[in-house]
Amino acid sequence: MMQRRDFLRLSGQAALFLGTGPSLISRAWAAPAGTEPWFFLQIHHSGGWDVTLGTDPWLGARPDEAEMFIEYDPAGIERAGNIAFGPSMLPLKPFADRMAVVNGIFMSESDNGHEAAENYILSGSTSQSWGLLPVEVLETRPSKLLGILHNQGVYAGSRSPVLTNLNSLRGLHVTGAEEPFVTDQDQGNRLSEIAKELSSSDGNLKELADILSRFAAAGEQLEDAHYLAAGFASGLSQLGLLRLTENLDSHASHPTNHLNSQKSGWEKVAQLLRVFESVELGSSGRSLLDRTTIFITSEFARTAALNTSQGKDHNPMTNSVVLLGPGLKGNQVVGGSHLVPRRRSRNGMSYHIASPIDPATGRALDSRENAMILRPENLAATVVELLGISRRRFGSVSPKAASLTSILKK
Amino acid sequence: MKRLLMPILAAAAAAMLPFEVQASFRGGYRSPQDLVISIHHVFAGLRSARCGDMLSPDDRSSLGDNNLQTGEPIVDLPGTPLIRWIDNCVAAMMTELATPPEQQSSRENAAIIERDFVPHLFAPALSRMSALRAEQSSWAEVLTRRTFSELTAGDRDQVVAHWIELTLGTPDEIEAFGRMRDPAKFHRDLTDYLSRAGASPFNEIMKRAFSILLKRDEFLLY
Repeated sequence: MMQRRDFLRLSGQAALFLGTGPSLISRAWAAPAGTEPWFFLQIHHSGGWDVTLGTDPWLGARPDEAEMFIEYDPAGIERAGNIAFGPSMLPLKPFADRMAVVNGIFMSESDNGHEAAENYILSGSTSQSWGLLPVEVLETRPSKLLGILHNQGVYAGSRSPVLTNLNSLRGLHVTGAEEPFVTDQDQGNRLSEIAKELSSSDGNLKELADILSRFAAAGEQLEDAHYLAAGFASGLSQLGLLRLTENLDSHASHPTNHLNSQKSGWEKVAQLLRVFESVELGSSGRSLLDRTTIFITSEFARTAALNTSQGKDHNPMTNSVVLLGPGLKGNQVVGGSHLVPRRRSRNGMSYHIASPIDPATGRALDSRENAMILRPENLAATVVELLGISRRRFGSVSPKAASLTSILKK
Repeated sequence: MKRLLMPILAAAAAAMLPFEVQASFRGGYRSPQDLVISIHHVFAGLRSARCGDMLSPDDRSSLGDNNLQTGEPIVDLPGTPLIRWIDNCVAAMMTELATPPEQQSSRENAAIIERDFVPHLFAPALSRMSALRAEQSSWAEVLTRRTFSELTAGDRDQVVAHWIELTLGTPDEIEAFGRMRDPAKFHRDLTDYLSRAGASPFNEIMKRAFSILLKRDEFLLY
């Protein structure tokens, strides 16, 4: 016998399916007047990136290799408006007008390892009680059927969000080829009820399958980006976390290898942005990319000079993020970093560290007077405001943490 | 038989677990680890990387495993992700049948396919299956090249009844769950459905059948 709780849950799911129209992307997000669809995606380059190769390239005279190792000519660094693109980040150049690059984020003075730094940059908090930003965002909004889409897990702290691995969406686009099994011996069989909705002609899942089929019909190899785009555009999820694993943790043999790995990660990001740009939401001509806030991170930067194994170690004293989203002024750079040479270093080793910034303009400063040091909580606060969520409702980010107002649209 | 097996499976699951993953869905649905183990039992111990012995981190949320900090289930009732997981799992198991031994995800798979798989899953039609085996060089070839329609109607009927009992239990057990008024009618519906696709090879037929059976509450509930 179907329990009341089950019935209510199924009824709710049925309402979700029936409440949306036929298999057109436009119907899934035909939002009432005055409301805009929104999505939030975190993309994390796992391993710790060398910011000098991508987000925060060295622009001065070529430094002494013993102080700072770079493998390009600073004079050849390409720009698009305000943004300087290190050689690994060039695949993102076509999206410069949508991007804000934030450099000089101070994570910690000493290395706390990958996991702690990753949770900090992805959540804006060092407390283990809070989940990553998508988890905390989900606490402020009703969950869509598939909750948070991810490819390698989501740290949830003390929360219990609905999580859906992108792998579980694979194969959906080949539905419809087989005759469905029909029996009248299905009184309250839970998955049968849900499966019927899966194959129904007007459900969100049918729409998800339709979008994937369209990608496949266009000859595209279906990757995580396609499943994320389809999951979002079909109305089944608004939140995602994608981890890119490209062997960035180059404690040895850093030259060339890290550059190639990081570039491969940025190429995947660029591909995802192109996929999101190709999906139209509604009939307004806006793309999925137009309505998605994207927060691109890594857990820390890498040390300035090469070690004895020709590698670069963890450097939590500076970091960068890239933001894209509808609430953002495009083509912005905030913050910066600087090199402390060996002769001025207490331990005799050069180091690359975040510079203080002017809180009003976001410009890097030489002095700490009237300045602030950017930390992950400032980025989290900025994301929360980009998503239009009240800071008072968002417990994981301290109300005292300033947001980067200079990059937000008024 | 199913009821006798459950305590054994539960004990086996407990012995295998490196840490607390004994969560279950709410509402009497089986724990994720028990589901994984039961599926292996259905397929005579056949293994696939997509639904391995242990719950992989990727599977935890699909199967409703618990939040390790709070002990609460991540997903409290079976849902869409579980449907996809079961479909992918069954498809992966059937792919193993068509995979050359050296490429299989488990060393034991080739032995299981040649020794245990057919006697376990086709017991009521073993005589006819053996005749097909005599015409092929391996059981894997029989399962991937010969078709369901090569069994007699009586054999097909009995094989489907056997698959239903392996997964859902005897007609009395099935009736006790209250999801079917007439288990015999379900048996007929499933046999007819699979027979209509009878020109497909056995592994395709099994994929269809077990994708249906493993999503039944009678399989998913304790």
